[in-house]
Amino acid sequence: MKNTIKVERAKKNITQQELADKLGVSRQTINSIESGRYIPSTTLALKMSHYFDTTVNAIFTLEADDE
Amino acid sequence: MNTSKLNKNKLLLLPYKFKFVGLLMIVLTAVVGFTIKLTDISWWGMQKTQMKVLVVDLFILGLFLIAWTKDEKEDEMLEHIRLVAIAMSFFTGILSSILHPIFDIAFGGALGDSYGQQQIIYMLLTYHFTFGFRKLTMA
Repeated sequence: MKNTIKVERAKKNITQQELADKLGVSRQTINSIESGRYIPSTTLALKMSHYFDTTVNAIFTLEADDE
Repeated sequence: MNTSKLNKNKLLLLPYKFKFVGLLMIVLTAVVGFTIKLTDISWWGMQKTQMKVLVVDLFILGLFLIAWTKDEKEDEMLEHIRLVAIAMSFFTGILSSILHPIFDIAFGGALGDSYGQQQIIYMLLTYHFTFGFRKLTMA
């Protein structure tokens, strides 16, 4: 599963730590999600999409090997 | 969205400060354990074997306290890693309960001697190793 969190962060000009603080998780969790090592829960994905003012689908996309 | 109901599914862990209590217990039991091993000291009229069992019990409690305590920043990824570590320790417990007696029969060990405590220590060490390793590699 790929994601556009890094791009969304760049648009808002915020660091991983700042995003982590906003969402109530650790910086390590944001780093793991961003690099695709951890797939977040629906709740966290929705919180993220609300924060970036977009949809979950716009941030997270399934890849061929996910199906 | 109201996510308060989702929070009810979370693991009930002890507050972070209990990590230090657990660590202190491990250090103290290690010191007392070595003292018992090296000397003929006896407390409250207890035999050496009784004291050993008691010290190992407290050592296990120390390991458990560290395992069942929240991290500084406990979140869903840590909870996920925790569940993987619990699963690994569960498999270790089953494997060791099957293999330990076989090894003892094969190599002439004292059959049935402190199996319970040993298995719990294996399980807790597997938990700590898995949790630490996954935390390092995922973060």
